[in-house]
Amino acid sequence: MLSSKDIISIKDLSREAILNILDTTDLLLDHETKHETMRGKILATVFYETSTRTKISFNVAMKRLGGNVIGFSHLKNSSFLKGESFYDTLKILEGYCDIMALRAPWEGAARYAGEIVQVPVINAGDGANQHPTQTLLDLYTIRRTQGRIDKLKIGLLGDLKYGRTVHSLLLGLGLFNVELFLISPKQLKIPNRYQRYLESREIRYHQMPDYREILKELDILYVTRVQKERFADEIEYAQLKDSYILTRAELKGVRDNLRVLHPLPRVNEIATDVDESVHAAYFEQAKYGVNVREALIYMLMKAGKGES
Amino acid sequence: MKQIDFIQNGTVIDHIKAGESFKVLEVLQMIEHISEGQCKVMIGCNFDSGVINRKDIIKISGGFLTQKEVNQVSLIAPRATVSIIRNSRIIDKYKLQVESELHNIIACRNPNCITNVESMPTRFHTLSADAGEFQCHYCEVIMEKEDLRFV
Repeated sequence: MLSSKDIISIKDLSREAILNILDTTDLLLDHETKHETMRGKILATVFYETSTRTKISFNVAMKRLGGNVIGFSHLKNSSFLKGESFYDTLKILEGYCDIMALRAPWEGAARYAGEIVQVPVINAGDGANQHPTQTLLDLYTIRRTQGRIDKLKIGLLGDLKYGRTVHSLLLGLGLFNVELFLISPKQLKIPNRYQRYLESREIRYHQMPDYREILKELDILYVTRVQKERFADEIEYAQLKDSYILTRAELKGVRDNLRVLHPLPRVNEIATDVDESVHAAYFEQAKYGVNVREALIYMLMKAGKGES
Repeated sequence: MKQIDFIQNGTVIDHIKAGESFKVLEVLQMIEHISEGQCKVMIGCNFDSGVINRKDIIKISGGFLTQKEVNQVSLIAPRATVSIIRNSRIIDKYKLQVESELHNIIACRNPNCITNVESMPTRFHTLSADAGEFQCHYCEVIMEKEDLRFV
């Protein structure tokens, strides 16, 4: 079971806690119709900024468990603009619900929320800091499609410098025995502190500018977007952008079990002809987002004060 | 060897790493009874020290620090010692220690941190007292010595 009443940061989770969450997700996914465990319970989706997919995914998760959902989905729909403090809003909502999913534009908001309220809080993204349910669904998809996480060769492709998703996934993967291929333009290489983290965990990793040379070796390729605004020099961007578009033709000769993941939304970094390939797993991955959130709601409510 | 004048009453901050006394002075400058001229402050730089090779020393004649002020000084000079002098005698002497958690002592450098949006106390975890690295409990940003701003 989980050691904390909240899910705030991937850093708080041990390997055992992560595996426990993935096992519970399996259980719920494989016995979907049997669970109505949240009947009479209310999830508040407290979204200070819009994130349509994450919010819908939490809504569906709670409804599948038989519970109800309340909440707001933008700063302008909250009382914050009227001058109400974050603290007051959360204390009021605490009285209306049994569990909260919080999305806020301020880093640290979820940690603070967890301290303010007694009900369990799930961080659905706090500014540029953490988005742990994304990482958990990434790890779940890897295990679901491969049967394991240990001993896999995993490529992380794209913006490794600024991408919150990649950094968080890297912290999670650091708890497993994996070999990593960090593929990015030199301007967007992984920050030193993450390299130090991998070294401290004795994770084998390689850095390279092109995925084509190692694609045939990989079990997982996790693709993220290279954004134009990250480049000071437009010519440099123009030269690079096409070298980071994965096409179906490039997937010839790869390992049968290779799966391509993407946190979505995609722009053009995976050509649409890849969608029909057996290797494409990104829509499946988005679907698992619901199952993982179901598991988290279920586990936190069972463990915490939310369960009456 | 007499390096700077003795003081009769006040505080001596010794074993400050050479060069860091000016940063300590920035902290002391914020303390009202010191900045308003009610006490004399003497500063010595680059003295020989058996303990840390070269050291700085600050003597505050007629001035005493609160626990919060001592905590602030400890973040800048984590190896320093503080002596309290009364009637020309040392009545207390201790080595500074950086707490493993800092409660409402420094402000987060991240403008988008919840602690800078909401009226609330800050909280930091000490990663390395010597290197001056502290991590915000809330936004997880790592602060270095140059970033330190006191609450």
